[in-house]
Amino acid sequence: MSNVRLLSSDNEEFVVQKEVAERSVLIKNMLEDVGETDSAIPLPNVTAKVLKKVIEWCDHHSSDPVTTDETERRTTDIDEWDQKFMEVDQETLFDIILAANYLDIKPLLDVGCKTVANMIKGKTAEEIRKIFNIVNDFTPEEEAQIRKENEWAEDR
Amino acid sequence: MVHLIHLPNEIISEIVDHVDAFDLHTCTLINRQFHQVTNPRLWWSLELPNDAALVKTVRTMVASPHDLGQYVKHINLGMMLGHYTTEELVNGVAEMDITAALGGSIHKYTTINTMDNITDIPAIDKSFHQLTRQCPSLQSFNVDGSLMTDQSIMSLAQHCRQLRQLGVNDCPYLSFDLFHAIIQGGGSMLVQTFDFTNANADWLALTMGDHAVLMRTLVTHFSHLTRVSIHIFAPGDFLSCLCSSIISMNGHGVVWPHLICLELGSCHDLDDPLLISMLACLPKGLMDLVLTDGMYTDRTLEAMVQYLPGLHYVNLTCTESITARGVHHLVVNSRHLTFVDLSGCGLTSQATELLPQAGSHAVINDHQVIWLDEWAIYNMQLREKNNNNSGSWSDDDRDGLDLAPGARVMAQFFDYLVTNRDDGDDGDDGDDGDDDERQGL
Repeated sequence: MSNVRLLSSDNEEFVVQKEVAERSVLIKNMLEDVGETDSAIPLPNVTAKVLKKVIEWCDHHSSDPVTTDETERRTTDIDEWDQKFMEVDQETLFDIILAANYLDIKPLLDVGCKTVANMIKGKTAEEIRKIFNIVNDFTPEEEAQIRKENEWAEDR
Repeated sequence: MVHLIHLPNEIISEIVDHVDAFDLHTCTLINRQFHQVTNPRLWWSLELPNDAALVKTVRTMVASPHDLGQYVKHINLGMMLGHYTTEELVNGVAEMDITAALGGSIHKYTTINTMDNITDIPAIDKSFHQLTRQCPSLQSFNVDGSLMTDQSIMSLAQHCRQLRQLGVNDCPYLSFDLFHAIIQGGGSMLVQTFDFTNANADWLALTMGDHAVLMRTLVTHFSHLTRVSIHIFAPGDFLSCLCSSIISMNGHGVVWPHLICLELGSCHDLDDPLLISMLACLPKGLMDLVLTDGMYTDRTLEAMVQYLPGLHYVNLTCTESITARGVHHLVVNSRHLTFVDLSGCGLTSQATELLPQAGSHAVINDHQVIWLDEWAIYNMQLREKNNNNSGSWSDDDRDGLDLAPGARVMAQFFDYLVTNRDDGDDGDDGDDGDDDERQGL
C-alpha cells in the first residue's frame, strides 16, 4: 500500500495511506494529475490541527461505500462514531466543515452540516443567535415584516 | 475565530438542507445572511391548506418587498392529509359513500372537504390570477377542494411557462373544459404530468355526456405527457371513454408517445377487451402501470406481458378478479418488472403458496418483489374480522400491525368506516351508538 505525504498550511507533514487520502476528491484528482510523486501535497487552506482531525475521519471511513442516496444524505441521523468525532468546540467544527468543503470530502461535509443542523433544530431564532454568537442585523421593521410574511410556515 | 456566519452561503445552504420546514422558518429570522439563504427555500414549495390561505398568501406576496413569488416552484393547495386528525378525516368524509370508500385505494381518503372556509369565488379567481403573475417559475401545482374556476386554470397556463405538473382533485367549479382552458392558455405543450382525482359524483353527473369529447381532447392535444394519473371514485364511463379515445386515435400514431406512467384508479368501468385493446396502443416505453379497483382478469395481465415489455412497476391494488397464477405469469414473463403491488387483491394465501417467501413482501428472485403493503394486510385482517363478526378492533390488535404514524390515523379512520357501516346495517343502534364509536377514536 503506497503512502501519500500531505503538508498543512503551517508546514506540518502527514504521511497517510493513499486510500485514506483519496477520500478527498481534491487529493484524488491531484494524484491522478501528477501521477506517482514523492513530494508532499501542499494544502494551504488547512492547518495541522484540522488536518489531523480530517485524516482521523478519513482513516475511520476509508472503506465506506460511496453513497449518493439523497434521502440518506438529507436525514440528520449521524452514526455514533461520527457523533463522538464531532464533539468539538464550535471553531473546530466550522474548521472541519470548511476543510471538508475545500478538500471535497462530501460525507464529512454532510456530517459536519448535520451536526450544525441538529444544533439549530427546535430552537427559536434568538436561541440560535445566542448559541452561535450571531448579531441580529435586522431593523425591527424588517424583522416584523419577515415574521409577518413567513407566518404561514410557523404551523407546518 | 471562525463563526457560523463566516461560513460561505453555499455551506449555510448545505446546513439548512438538513432542517425541516419549521426550523427553516426560524432560520429566516436569525439575521440577513440566513434570511438570504433560507427564504428562497422556504418559499420554494407552498403548502396551503385552503383557499383562504391562498388568498392571504397572495396578498402577502404582493405586499412584500422581497419578491417572494420568484422562488415559488411548487404549490400544493388543500392537500395536507398528514395534517388531519382522525376526527377531521371522519368529519370531512362524512358525506362520502362509505361502502365505496371501503372498497379501495388510499386516494379516496385524501379528498377532504376544505371548502367551508371561503365562498367568494371571484376573490379566489382574482387571487389565483395574481398568483400566476407573481410566480412565473411555478413548476408544479396541485389543488384539492378549491373553488377556483377554469379562469384560474387558464391564467396558470398563460403565465406559468415552466409548469410541468398539474394535479386537480375535487374542485367543484372546474368544468371538464379545464383541458380547453389549458389549451387556450397555451399550456398544452408544457404539461408533462397530469393528475386528476375526483370523488364527487354530483359533479361528474353534471358534466355527463361530454366525457368522450373531453377525453379525446386530453388524448389529442397533450402529446407531451409523460405521466397521466386519473382516479375517479364515482360510477361512470369516464375511464372507458379515455380508453376508447386512446384506441380510436391510435391510427394517427402513438398516443402520448413519451408516456412513462399511466395510472387509472378505480377502473371498474373497464373490462378485459377494452383494457387489452388499450394496452396494445400504449407506447412501448411505458414503465409504470397502475390499474386499481379493476374488474379485469388474468387476460389483461397477459396483455401487459405481450404489449408492454418495458414495465417496471405494476400496481393492481384491490382487483379481486385476478389470480395468483395470472400474477405469476406477469412476473415471470416481464423481464424488467421489479415491483408488483397486490394490496387488497385478496391473494395472500394463494401468493404464499406461489411464492415461498411471501410475507409483507415477497422476493421472487434477486430483483422482483411482490408487495402486499400494510394496508393490504390491514384490509385483509379487517375483512376477516368483519366476516367473523367478532366486533371492533382493540388497540392491541392495531398495535400488533406496527403501522406508521400516518397510517395509524388512517387505520383509526378505517375503524370508523367499518363501525359506521355496521351501524347502518343494523339500523337500530341510533345516534348514541355512533357517538360512542366516535369517542373511541
